[in-house]
Amino acid sequence: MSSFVAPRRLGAVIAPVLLLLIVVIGGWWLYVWLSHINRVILPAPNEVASALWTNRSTLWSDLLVTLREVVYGFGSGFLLGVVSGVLIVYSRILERTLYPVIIASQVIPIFALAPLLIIWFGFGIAPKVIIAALIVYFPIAVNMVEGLRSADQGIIDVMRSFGSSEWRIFRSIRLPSSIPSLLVGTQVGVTFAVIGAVIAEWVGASAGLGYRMVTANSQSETDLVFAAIITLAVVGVALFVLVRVIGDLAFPWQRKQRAD
Amino acid sequence: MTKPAMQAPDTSQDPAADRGEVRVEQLTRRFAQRRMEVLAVDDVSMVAGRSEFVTILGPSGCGKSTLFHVIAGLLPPTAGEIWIHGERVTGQTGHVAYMPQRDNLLPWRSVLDNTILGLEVEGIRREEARERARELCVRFGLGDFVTALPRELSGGMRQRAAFIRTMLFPREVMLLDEPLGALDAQTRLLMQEWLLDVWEQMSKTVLFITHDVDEAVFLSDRVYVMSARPGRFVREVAIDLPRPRRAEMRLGAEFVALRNDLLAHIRTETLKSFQETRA
Repeated sequence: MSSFVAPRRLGAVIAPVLLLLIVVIGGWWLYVWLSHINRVILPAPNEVASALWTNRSTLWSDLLVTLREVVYGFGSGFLLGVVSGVLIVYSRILERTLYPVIIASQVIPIFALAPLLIIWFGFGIAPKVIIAALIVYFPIAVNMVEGLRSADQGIIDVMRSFGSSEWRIFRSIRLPSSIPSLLVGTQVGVTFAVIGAVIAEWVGASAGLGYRMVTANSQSETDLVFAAIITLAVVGVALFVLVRVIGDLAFPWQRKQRAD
Repeated sequence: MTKPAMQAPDTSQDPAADRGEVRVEQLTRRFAQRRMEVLAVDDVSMVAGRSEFVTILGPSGCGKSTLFHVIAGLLPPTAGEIWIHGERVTGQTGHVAYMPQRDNLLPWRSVLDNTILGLEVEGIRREEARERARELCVRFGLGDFVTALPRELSGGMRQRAAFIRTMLFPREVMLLDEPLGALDAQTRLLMQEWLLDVWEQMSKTVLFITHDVDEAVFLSDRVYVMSARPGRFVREVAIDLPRPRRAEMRLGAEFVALRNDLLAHIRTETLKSFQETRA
């Protein structure tokens, strides 16, 4: 049982994805070429590629701005989520007050808060970080609660019968038990954080990939809009994969077993 | 049938305690369950002597596990007392090495690190704990698996690891709650022999739960038969088969007679709980 993805397997994962991309991009190209559609409505793939290239330094600095918002937002949402998860599991009162409120709060579209946050905190990084953190918070908190609760009661009984402290049971049993579930929440959360940051930028910003999309759109630079979208997609996928790889390397025991 | 006493220091204050390491006195445990009172254990008394192998045999759902939870200090009794080495330990944890039905191994710890959980609770340094554990693992057939993760082990091997974890918790009394129940029939027979082999070398007092009559006869010095709910002891049988026990003994006349006697009792009780659940 190897703990790393074998190159052959990696190829088997990537090949179908590449094939699909080729088909989609080919179809797109063909459509633009045959329909003589206005380039402001739909630019051809090669035009998007050249927009990516000519605007690479702008996109790069936008990327850094957005990435910073994502990292801060994700980081604070993650910390808050983990801490509230622990508190909810260990406090009957919080379980009955905070947890239902957290779940009910999900009916509020957090994006609707963006304009308010701009009013309160201005056009700087703060509203973006807050929106990203709020969005990340939910999947992390819920998965942390579920993860801590998933701990095997049998081994907790064994630890108690040995006379173990609750603190040791938390450290040695509950916390590690929460990791598989927390990783799932983290994968979801990290992609949500990107969406949150971008949407906050739409509402009011002076830099960032979301800001770039809005300005390019208003100037009918559709090729640049596409270039920004592609950059975002790459960032999202990269963060997702990063979380997965870190999770698998740091906690190899939680990897799904393959039937081979 | 009795084996040489352990040289462990006797912390007993009660001079009358030397006969029994574990004494359960008139233990009762009730549960409140949706306005109904369930009587899980009803006025149970038992004794297990030093290094004795005592089995509680009963139909499923009869309150055997509840009895163990109370002895292990995980549940307070409704009435009754537990004495270990003549010390009253009712409602206290930390006096026995308890093993539940499943192996409950932690998937993120190696086999070796799973076995040292009890020693860690005792505050023993990890390196020293590992050294002690490694010695036992090697001695009892897990030597090649100490660095493996539990998921790489077969059911029998996992159960051995869980058993070594229990044995490493430095107490003279072990509570084993149907430790072989989840194994297939063949592995189970082999594990019974393994278990006896280990027990004979370690000379610990074992309280053992099973609903398997053959297992009870093969392993035990004494068997208590527990009734269907409410759980009471309806019979106590001494198993005077010579030790060490061998697989061939299972076919001997003496074994078969004991087995049939117990089977008749357990059948009555199982029938009761069967009819109760259908009602």
